[in-house]
Amino acid sequence: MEQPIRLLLAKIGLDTHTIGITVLAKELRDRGIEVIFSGLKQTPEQVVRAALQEDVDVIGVSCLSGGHMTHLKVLAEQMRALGIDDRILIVGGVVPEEDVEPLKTIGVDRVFTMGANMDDIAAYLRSAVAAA
Amino acid sequence: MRKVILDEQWQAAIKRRDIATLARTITAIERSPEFLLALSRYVFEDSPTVSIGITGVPGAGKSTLLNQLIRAYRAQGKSVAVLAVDPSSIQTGGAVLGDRLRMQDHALDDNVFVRSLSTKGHLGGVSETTFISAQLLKYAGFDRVFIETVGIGQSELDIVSVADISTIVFIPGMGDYVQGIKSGIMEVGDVFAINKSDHEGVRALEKVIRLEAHDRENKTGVSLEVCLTNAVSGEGVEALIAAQDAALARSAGQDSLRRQRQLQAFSRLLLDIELREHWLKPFVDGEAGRRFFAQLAEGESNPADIISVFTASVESRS
Repeated sequence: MEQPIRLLLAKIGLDTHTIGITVLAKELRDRGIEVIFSGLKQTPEQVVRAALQEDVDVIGVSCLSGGHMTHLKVLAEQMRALGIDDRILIVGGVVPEEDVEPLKTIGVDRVFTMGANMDDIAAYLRSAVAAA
Repeated sequence: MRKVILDEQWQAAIKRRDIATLARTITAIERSPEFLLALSRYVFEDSPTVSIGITGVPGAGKSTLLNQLIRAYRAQGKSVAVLAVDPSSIQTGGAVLGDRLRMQDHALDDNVFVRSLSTKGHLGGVSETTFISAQLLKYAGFDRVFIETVGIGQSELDIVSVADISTIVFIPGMGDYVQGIKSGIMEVGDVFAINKSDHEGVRALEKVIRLEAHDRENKTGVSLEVCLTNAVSGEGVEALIAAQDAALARSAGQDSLRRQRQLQAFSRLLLDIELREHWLKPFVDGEAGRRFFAQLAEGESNPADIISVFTASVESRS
């Protein structure tokens, strides 16, 4: 069996909307991905430290609180500080269209918003990790 | 994959418990059988560090109990590493590893290292690479190395040959006294922790477990610790630590025996991996194997024929 991609999934900030991230964890599991679920109300620093210890290929952050710009900026800085900015960073949740480009400027590789297709997410992860 | 080279620089980084190096090394162990073999030459030096297995049924509170154990050990100034194993899917190889989330309180603490591992289809409660990864963490010098198994049933007991001592976590409501006299988990383990001690049925369970512990003590002369814990409130965690320390002190006399057992089990594992990677896989995925399975599907051969086909292919290789 080929080695599975390791993905850390976390919810950041004051946000307890768990349905999306739970469905995503399970669906990606069913697509052969090793999902490390680090839970809710995480600070960017906690997420990055967990990613370092878990040596993940991808960090996936779910944010439905509207705080994505603030949190992701800190998170991307922390990734650079710990030397893991070579990992793929993806964001999911309620992200307005006009925030997508600014997030990419910060260092987010891809944003998946409402209605994103699970197969597309898995396919993206495979190609992004293969190219990394 | 981020490459790991086993040089002096690597050794120094591991010895100062550099998180990034530890993390990358564990990944390399999981992803490359050759690396696993090479690493085995480094990490078996004597170390005062001990490893403790935590096992029990799914949902018994193993991770939550570990969160409390980490807190207590950190209060004593001890460094702690955890390998948390969860099952991987047989169908897809994917997994949801959810033990870490109970221990995220300690994410910012440099003296706590938590790593989630999937079983990679291995049965027995841990993954094939768990032992060597624990050995790496001992070599790095963490004061305590914990190995949390998957939620086990009655007989996934690999942890006994992987960890120095094992704590089995029980919870009330899992059946009557007959469960206590079956073979399996009641026969192994050094410490019995009865978690969710505020739940109904805890007294009845304690009675069964104390009876079994007493019986084993009579037969083996080795005493067993039984304690009640509440992983949510932290009640009983100090007693659990004392019980584990007592078990460690008691087993200290048997260090060499235990070591022999661990090393034997690990050697056999290396042999298994060698046979699988260099003999079985090339056969099954190769010309002879594919031809055999095609014939089998057509009803032109019998499953038993695989032995002679395999033997012939091995002979033709040498």
